[in-house]
Amino acid sequence: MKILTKRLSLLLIICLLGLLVANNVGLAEDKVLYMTLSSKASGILRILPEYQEISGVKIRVDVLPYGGLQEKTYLELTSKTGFYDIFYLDVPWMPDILPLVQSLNDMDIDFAELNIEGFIKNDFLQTVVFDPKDPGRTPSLDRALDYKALEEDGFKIYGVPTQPNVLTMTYRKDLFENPQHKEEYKKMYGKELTVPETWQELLRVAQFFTRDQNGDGKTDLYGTTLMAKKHESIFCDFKTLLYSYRGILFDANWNAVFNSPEGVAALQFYVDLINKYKVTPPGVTSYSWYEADMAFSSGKTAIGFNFKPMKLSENVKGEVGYAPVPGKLEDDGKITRAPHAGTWLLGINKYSKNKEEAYKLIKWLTSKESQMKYAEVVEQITRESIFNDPAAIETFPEYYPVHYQSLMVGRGRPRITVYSQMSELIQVQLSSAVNLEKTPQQALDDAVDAVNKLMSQTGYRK
Amino acid sequence: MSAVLNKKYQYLLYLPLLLVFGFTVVYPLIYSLYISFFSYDIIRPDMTSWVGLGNYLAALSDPVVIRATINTIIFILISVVLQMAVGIALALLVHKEFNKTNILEALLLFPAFLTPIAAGFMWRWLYNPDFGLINYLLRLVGLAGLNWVGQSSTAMLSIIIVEVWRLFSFVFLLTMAGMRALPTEAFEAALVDGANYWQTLRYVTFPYLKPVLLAVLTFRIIDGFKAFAVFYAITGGGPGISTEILSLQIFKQGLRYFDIGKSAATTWLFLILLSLVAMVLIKLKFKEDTY
Repeated sequence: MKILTKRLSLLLIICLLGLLVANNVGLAEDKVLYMTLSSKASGILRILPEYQEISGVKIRVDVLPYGGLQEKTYLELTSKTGFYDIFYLDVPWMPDILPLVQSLNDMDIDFAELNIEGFIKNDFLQTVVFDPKDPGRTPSLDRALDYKALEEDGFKIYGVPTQPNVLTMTYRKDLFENPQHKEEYKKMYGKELTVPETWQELLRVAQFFTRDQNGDGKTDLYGTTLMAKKHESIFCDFKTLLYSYRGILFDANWNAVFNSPEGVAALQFYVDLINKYKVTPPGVTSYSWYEADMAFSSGKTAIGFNFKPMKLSENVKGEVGYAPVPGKLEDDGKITRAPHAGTWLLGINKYSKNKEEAYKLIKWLTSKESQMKYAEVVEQITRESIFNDPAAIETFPEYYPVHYQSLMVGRGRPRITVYSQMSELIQVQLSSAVNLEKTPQQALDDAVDAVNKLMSQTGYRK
Repeated sequence: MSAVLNKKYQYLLYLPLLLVFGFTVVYPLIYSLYISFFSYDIIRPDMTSWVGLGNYLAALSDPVVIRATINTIIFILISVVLQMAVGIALALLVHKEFNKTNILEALLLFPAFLTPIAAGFMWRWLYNPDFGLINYLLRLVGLAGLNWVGQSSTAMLSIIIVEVWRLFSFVFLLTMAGMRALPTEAFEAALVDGANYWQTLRYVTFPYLKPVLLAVLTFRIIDGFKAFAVFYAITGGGPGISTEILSLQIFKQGLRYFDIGKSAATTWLFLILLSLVAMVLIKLKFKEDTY
């Protein structure tokens, strides 16, 4: 009996100690902020300890991969417990979760101090400005970042942009600058070999570079990567082409209209790059952004498209350069570019009990001073002034101007609560088209039918 | 008196079990049935409305759900047959040679130890047509590689290969165990009667193994319905909807589109299908057990 009592007491002590350790001996803490981050938010993660030191506020972060983050965010927000104070939010979720995210207009904050005019306008308006009564509405993208004027038009600000993802092009500088290639290209096309600005130039350059480099009779270099897997990536690719062809996804009454001649031409071009001209690696229909990155970095292609600046792996000799995604050449000689863009934002939980503290942290994380510290990692910069500051961008001077230029013309996703369903319905049909199971017209007709059905069911289409 | 009290008292002892079972199984099940009749919006619960059988009709008329059902059945049929064939063949092959096959069994079990999602991501890269190991090896021997999971014609087959690789050892292991327990007399009698290998297999080994094999088959089929992670990691249902299966659809409806009502309705349809299959299998097994 004695032994048993002894053992039980020991067990109890161990349990208590365990509890204390598990609680991080955090009994005396008064201010703790809880936030979620995506695994890509390395800039923020790096400077958070600094804020803890300055402010004395403890910050607990849960870092999650994309899929897990979306589930966690939705479930936490809808549980209304207010456990997390700050959420790292992807913009396509916003129309859906808008009622659960705190608008900054309804807090007592000094907008002058936040300096919203300092953000990239096109990006800010598409990422954090929403109409709570009609989340589908997008403010006109040429208007000024004046919170009062926006509020008068029914718009409120729901957070601060961070991590702007926009499609950019990475190319093999060494291949483009090779004198032999230059000469060969000029002989073939009667033009200088330059980095493609238009889709037609992209096709020509991609055809030129698709070749057998080592003379074994097999193609070992391809023109370009695409992201043609049945995945969000194929929708982003299509959307980039669609908008640059001046097509649209929906009309003003939420009727899907992307099976227009512009849409069909855009998809036809995409399908042809893969199947007719064969300027993409043979496995491109199983590429999402991960595989596209790998294909380019392993030296398989001369050009690559991705949402980040790509680099070559160590065993590939060569140099890379960056450029905006090509566009459609208009009759007047102008080029319409519409790279897909989707920026993340830092938003406050409407049910948080520490909104003031949460706002202070967000303000600090997105201030110019903090963003200067992200310069090395590129990913978290959303302020125009950083892009225009030579000192700030000297860590990566060849990429920053391209990123900035792309953000200025980047096009976001449609603002609907059923975005994931819509994207999936379109992905399925795009995937059928690139696999030659359907013609682009058939695929887009079927996608439009499916999306319209969804839009009717969900009350968007009357 | 004390006997009566004891009898009453014993029911009280069931209470913790009933409570746990009630909260973790019965309540969620009934609740999921309940919300399957609503258009349930988790973001805007106030807009939740009764739709009757609407979610069921929507699921049954959804071409993606229909295709997912067909795909699920095709997947289970082919992958279970292959798992059984490979597992049994291997067991027959090695059970005589190795009486103590511990190391071999451990090695063969290795794929089953891997987390399905990790196995899925690993195979996604193995299958990569441009820099995956499989095509690399094929090219070494002069064959053109395949776009394994990037084209509809081979995507399902590719996933079936992964699932067979992952799970045949389960069949192997149980078949081995079954064979070790076989009575030696029958085999000796067969030997005396001059039966050859195939005759022994056909008339002695299989009849004795039948109950074990039926149990394994039941497990494999029911497990097949639960396949999810490998599909999620490798194709996400694509290309097109060629590898869309029911569990993936339920996940997408519930946790991607947050269409909880339809997801619950599809889950119930899935459950009915699964129950029917399970009933048939159990009946088969029951018949077998009562000879």
